[in-house]
Amino acid sequence: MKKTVTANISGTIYNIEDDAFDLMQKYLNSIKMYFSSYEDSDEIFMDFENRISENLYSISNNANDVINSKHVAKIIEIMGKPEDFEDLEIEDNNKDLTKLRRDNNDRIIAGVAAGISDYFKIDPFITRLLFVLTIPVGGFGFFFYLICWIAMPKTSIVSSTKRKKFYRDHENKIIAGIAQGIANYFSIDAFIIRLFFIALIFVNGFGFVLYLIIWISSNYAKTIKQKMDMSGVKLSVDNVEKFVKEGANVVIADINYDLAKELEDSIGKNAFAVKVDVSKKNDVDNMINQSVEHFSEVNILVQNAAIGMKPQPLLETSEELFDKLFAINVKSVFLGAKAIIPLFKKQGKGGVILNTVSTAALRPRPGLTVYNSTKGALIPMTKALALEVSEFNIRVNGICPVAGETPMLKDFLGSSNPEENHKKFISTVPLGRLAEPRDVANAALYLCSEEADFITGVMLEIDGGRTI
Amino acid sequence: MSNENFKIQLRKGLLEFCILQVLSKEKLYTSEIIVKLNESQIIVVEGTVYPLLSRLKNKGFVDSEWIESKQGPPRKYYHLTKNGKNYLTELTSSYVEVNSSIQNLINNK
Repeated sequence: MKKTVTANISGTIYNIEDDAFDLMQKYLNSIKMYFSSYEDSDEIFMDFENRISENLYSISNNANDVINSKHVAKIIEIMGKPEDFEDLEIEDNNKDLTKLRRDNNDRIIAGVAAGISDYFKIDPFITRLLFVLTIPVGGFGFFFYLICWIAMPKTSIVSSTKRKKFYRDHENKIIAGIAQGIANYFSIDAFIIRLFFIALIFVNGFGFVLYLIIWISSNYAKTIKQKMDMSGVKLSVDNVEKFVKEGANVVIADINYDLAKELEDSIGKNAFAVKVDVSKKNDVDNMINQSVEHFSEVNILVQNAAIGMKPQPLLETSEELFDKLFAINVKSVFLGAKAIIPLFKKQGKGGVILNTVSTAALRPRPGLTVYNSTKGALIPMTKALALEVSEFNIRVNGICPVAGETPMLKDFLGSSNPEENHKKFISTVPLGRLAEPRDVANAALYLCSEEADFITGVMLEIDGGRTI
Repeated sequence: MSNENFKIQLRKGLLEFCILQVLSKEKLYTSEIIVKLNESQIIVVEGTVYPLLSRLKNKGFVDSEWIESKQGPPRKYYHLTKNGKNYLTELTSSYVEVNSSIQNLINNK
C-alpha cells in the first residue's frame, strides 16, 4: 500500500505517490536553485513549472491518474537536469575593453581589482590575490596595477549580475577550508585543488606560502548571506529556507513548544526549538542562553511575538487586558534587547535586532486603542535603542505589517459580521489585499541581511500603501 | 567524438539561432517554442530553452509579455525585438555562408 498526496502544479491538481512527490520536490528545488541567480528567476521557474504540468498531464493521460516515480523520472528525462543546461552557459567573449572601469564602490586602494573583477564577473578577492602573487615576479603585479590605475577611468559600479564569492568553507574543511572554498567557487572537486596545493609545495614551498596567504586574507562563510554568496544564489525567502535546511542555524522560540518542535523536526538539525514566555525575564534569558549553548553564537534576534485584541472601546477595556497586552507586546521587546545586547557586545561582531511593530502604530484606528498603544511604544524604543547601540555595530529596526491572513486576524475583525469587516479592511489597502507571511518574511530578511548594513532605526511599512 | 555527440554539439550551437527563427514568424509562449523545436528534433532536453530565452531577453533580442490564458495560468509570450530581427538577419547570413562552405566541402569529394 502506498500513500498518495495531492499537489497543485501550475493550477492542475495531481495525486502523487509519496516517493514520487519527494522526487519531484527534490527536482524542482534543484531547478529553482539553478535559476536563482537569474534576474527573472521567479518568472522562469513559473514558466518551467507550467511546462512540467503540461508534460505530466500528457504522459499520465489525464490529471486523474496517480503519478508515480516512473512518471516523475520521465519528466526529468524530458525537461533535463541543471547540469544539462550548464553546457549552454556560453560567456560572451567579445568584451569591449573600453568598458573597463575602476570601481569606487568596492575599492581597497584605487578600485582597479574590483573594476577588473566586475568586467570579468569574478570575485575581487581572486583578482587581488593575483596582483599580490605577481608582485615578486619582477614587480609585475605592482607595475600592472599602476598602469591600470592611470589608464582606467573611475566610476561607481553597481553590478547587475549575481556573482559567486570566495569564502573558506568551514563545514567541509580539512585544514582551513581553503581547498573546499576554491572548489565551491569553481564548482569542481576539492580533491583536485588539494592535489594542486600539494604539488606546489614541491615548487620551493610555493603551495605552502600560497595557502598561508589565502588563509590570512580570506574569511569563512558564516552567515546565511555569505553561504548563499559562496554558492552564487540570490537572497530570497525560498533560498534562505533551503540554506537553513542545509547549514544556517535558526532557533524557533515559542510559548507553544509542541508547534516549535514540529517546525524543528521539519527543518532538521539546523533548527532548535525552545519554549519561552516572552513576558518573563527568566524565560527570555534562558532562551538566549540555550541558543548560545546550542549554536555557540547568535547574530540576529527577531522579536515577533505579540497578541491582538477584539475591537472594543477604551472604557470597556479591562486593566488585566491592558497589562497582558503591554507585557507580551512591549515588555518582551525590552527583555529581549536586554538579554541579547550584552551577548552581541561580547561576541564583538555587531548584531541585528528586528522588532515586529504594526501599521496600527502609524495609523491607529478606534476600538484597538490599547493594542495600538503597545505597537506605538515600540517605535521610540526601536529608534532610541538604535542610537544607544550603534557604536557596537548593532542595528535595530522595525517592520510595520498591515493585518495579514494569520490566526490573529479573527481577533481584529471582531465577532459581528467578520466577512463584511474583512472586505472593508481590504478596501482600505491601495494594493487590494492583506499582508501574507511571505511579504513580511521578505522585508525581515532584507533588514537582517548585510544588504541593509547601513540601515538602523527605521520602521519599514509592509502594508500595500495603507498608511500613505 | 561519436556521431551522437557530434549531433548534440551541433544542435546546442544552433539552438539560439533556431529559437530566434521560430519567434520571427509569430509570438509564442515557451511551451509552443519547445513544441516547434521538438518537431524539428533540435532539442535534447526541454529545459535548455529556459536559460537561452533569458539570455536572449537580457541581450535585448527578445521581449516578453504576460497574456491571460483560457486554460490555466497566464502565459509569457515572447517576440523578437528590432535588435533581435537585425541579429537574426546577421545569424542567418552567417549560417547560409557556413552551410554553403560545408556543402562545397561535402560535394568536392
